Amino acid sequence: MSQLDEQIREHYLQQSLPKENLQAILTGEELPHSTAWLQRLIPLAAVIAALLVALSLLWKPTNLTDAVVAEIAKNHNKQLAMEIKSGDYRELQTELDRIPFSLKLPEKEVRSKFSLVGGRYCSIQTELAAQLRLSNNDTGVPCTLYITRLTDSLRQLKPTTRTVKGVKVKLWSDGRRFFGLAMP
Amino acid sequence: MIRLWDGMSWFGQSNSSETASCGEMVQSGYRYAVSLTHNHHDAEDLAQQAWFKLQRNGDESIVRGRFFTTIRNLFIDSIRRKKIVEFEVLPDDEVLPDKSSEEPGITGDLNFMLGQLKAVEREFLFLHCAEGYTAEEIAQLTGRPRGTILSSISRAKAKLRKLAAKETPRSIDANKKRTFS
Repeated sequence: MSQLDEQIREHYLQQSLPKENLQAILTGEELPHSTAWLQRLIPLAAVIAALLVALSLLWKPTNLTDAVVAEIAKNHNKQLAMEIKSGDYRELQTELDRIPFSLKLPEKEVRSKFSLVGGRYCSIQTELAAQLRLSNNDTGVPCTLYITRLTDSLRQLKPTTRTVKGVKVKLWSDGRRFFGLAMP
Repeated sequence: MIRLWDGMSWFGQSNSSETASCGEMVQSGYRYAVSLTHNHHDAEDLAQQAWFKLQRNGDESIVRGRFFTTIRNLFIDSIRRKKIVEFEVLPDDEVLPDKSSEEPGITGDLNFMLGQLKAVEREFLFLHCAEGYTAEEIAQLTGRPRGTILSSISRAKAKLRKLAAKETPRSIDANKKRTFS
């Protein structure tokens, strides 16, 4: 063994753990400055993060329902003038040519109870939508039907009817389109 | 049978000789970790984590080689997490003749100079010089070719000598100044 080998050997043999730290390792105690405990918390932190993400996903539809209902009620109360006045949905479809989905009134129930008055562009949750003015066949009271593409987020919403600021809002979908009907 | 796997101590026994041998192994593991990290706190953490890991795995006996391998793997994991590339694989170049046995020692701050080496070079020096392992044994422990081990050790010693040569004039000057002041 050369002198340099001996020097290296001596250097490393001088390195030793203090008695109390050595004892702590042997008895399974944590060292005061050890980061091992922090590393063991990583899986726990990951589980908590996953739970928070899951909760946020679960809560999202409820919040989205509130948001959509509020938006529809607010727009209905504005009673904005119709850009196109027509009782024929085909004519509205032609005029509102940026709308990529059918404007045919949904369900026999809607078609039998209401008459189409006109329509205009609008949006629901930033998604391009058609706002159709309807008139109740029995009472003549104006109602508003919103139609938009059934996006992934809107697909999460369950059919519901809620009343906000005196406006009764009914939400539903037909698999391709999303509807919101606002009635006083 | 190589010596790496000879050292053995048993858990679950509380007599003083076993505690002493466990303590000796932890100290050896700590020194090995010091050679890898060149940092006392990190080395202590590594030795502790490796010891606990082997205990958790239910190993009734902790073999010296297994303890060292666990420390080494934990060290590699830690530098991967930190994205440090220092612990790179050394090239398998030709084996350099080791003339160090004929050469004298060095002067200067050896700890500082060891800090200038790559972790893998310190590791080989430690295993060879401090633990007395042969190149063949180090090759089995680290999974590197024997030739790489030998050339790395020679290269590391050459680096130390070079660093010492740079440091010596300063040391002499400093001593002269102290002498004449």
